[in-house]
This record gives sequence, structure tokens and C-alpha cells, in this order.
Amino acid sequence: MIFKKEVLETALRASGVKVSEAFAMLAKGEVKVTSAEVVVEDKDALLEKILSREASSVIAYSQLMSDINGLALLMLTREDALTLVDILNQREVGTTGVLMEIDRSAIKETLNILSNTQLTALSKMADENLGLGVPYMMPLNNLKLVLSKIKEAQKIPGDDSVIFSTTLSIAGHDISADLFLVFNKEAVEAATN
Amino acid sequence: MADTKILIVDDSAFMRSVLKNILEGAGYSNFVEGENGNDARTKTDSEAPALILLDLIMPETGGMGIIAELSQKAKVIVISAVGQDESVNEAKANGASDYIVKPFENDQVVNTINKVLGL
Repeated sequence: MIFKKEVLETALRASGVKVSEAFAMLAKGEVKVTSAEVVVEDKDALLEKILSREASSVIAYSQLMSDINGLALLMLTREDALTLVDILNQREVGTTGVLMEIDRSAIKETLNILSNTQLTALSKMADENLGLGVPYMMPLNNLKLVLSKIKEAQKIPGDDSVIFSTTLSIAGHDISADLFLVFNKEAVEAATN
Repeated sequence: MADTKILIVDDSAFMRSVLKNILEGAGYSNFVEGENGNDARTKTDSEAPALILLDLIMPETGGMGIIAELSQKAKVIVISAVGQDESVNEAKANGASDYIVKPFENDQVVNTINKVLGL
């Protein structure tokens, strides 16, 4: 366990207002964080949690650029991703049916902003240097590869994972985003190779 | 103002589009775009922009390492989601005229650009 749960919960609370402000600027509308939860999982529980996601989930990831090896994974349901890109692109919700390059770019920017906001709060609370690399989208098959690498690393101690579950209400639309922080060297290598 | 050439360097097409829309609303219309640090170098030399809006975390060549070089040729404003003080201080020490943390208010972007350009 790299971070104490109390530190993570304090960081999540501290970042809540910042996250709301961030998305309000992007969406040009009222944004509320309607629920936020920290879950600390061991690798088995993490695997189950991720594999139970809908096959159509939209996944963006970024490598942690810090002294701690890890990945940030943003997961949204496809429906929430489509709603989010419509809001961010100032379109009527329901307009987008297929994610185009500009929409994928908007989702990667969402990962960038959401995770940087939460990591900056965590960085201050834990006095650890935490930053993010370039965000990418990841197909589900690649995520499965990453998960299999995590599973192979079962015997390595001290690389638990943290899930920041955040539900935002943006302009009256609820969007649930799970930010997984996976502190695992093998996961980084699998994702970046 | 409309003739002022601005190079927008960000790997996110979405963010480049957001910035262009904000600047068009403020009366700017002469834009060049780049996706990474290599683009920034090439287009600074070929297009001679007056101002460069530079992201930091980009594929291939990031922004931090080229601020000193670019700031010899144009004004540089960093626009990044990285809001930690160390990053802001390093960018300014390297020659950035200002630093805006994403996300931003439209007015903040326009005011900062006008200030850096002396308008």
C-alpha cells in the first residue's frame, strides 16, 4: 500500500471543487460532483472490477511520470462518453453516435484534466511527486493484456491499486468516471510496449 | 490583431480547436498548428509566429525542453494541465512569458495573450 486511505480520501475531497470548476470551464455550464469514493484494491479485486465493466467501455490511459511506477486509467461507459463529448463540443446531447478523432481527443483531455487535478491534490497530501505522461486511448484487448501482466506480477508486494470513482452532474447529465491508479511496473511496461 | 500569427502547439486536436475558437472570438484569425515539439520547432522557423501557445506533455518531443530555444524567436505562453509550482517555475526560468493551467477561462487566455503581446 503506497498511500494511506485517509490521505487518498482527503485528496479526493480536496480535488472535488477543483474538478467541478475544471469541467464547468470546459462544458460552459453548471457542474457538480454528485458522488466521490476512494476504493483501494489488491490486484485480484482490481482485475475483477475492471473485467466486469461493459465490453464497450471507453478507456484512456496515461503513464505516471514520477518516482512511483504506475498507470492512470480513465473508464467511462460508451453512453457516458458520447454524452461527455457532446457537452464538451457544445453539441446537443444525443448528437454523437460514433466517436471521431476530435471526440477521442476530448476524452483524452478529460483524462488529462481529471487525473491531473486529483493527482495534484494527492501529490500535496502525500508529499510525493506525481505527474502524468501523454494520454492515449486503449482498446479493450490491450487492457486485457495489461491485466494479464498485472496478474503475472502477483508476488510483487506493495503495488496495490487505487480507484477514484467520481460522478459528475454536467448541465443536468450524470456522467460516471472511474479513475484507476495502478501502481505496478509490469502494467506500465505492458501498456507502453 | 488579426494579422498576429499565433502557433498553437498541443497534441490534443480538441484543445487546439478550443483555443482557436476563443482567439477567433477575440479577433485573432492567423493561426498555425502543431502537434508536438518537433512541429513547434519546424513551424516556428518556417512561419515566424509572433506568439507560441505551447503544451508541455506531448508525444515525441515535449514542450519543456524547447522553451528556451523557441523563446529566442517568439513569445511563448505555456498552456498545460500540469499545475504544480515546480513546472510553472521551470517554464518561466526557461523563458516562457506566462503559464496558463488547463482548464482555463476564456478571458484568462485572451487577457494573458494581449498582455504578452503588449496589446
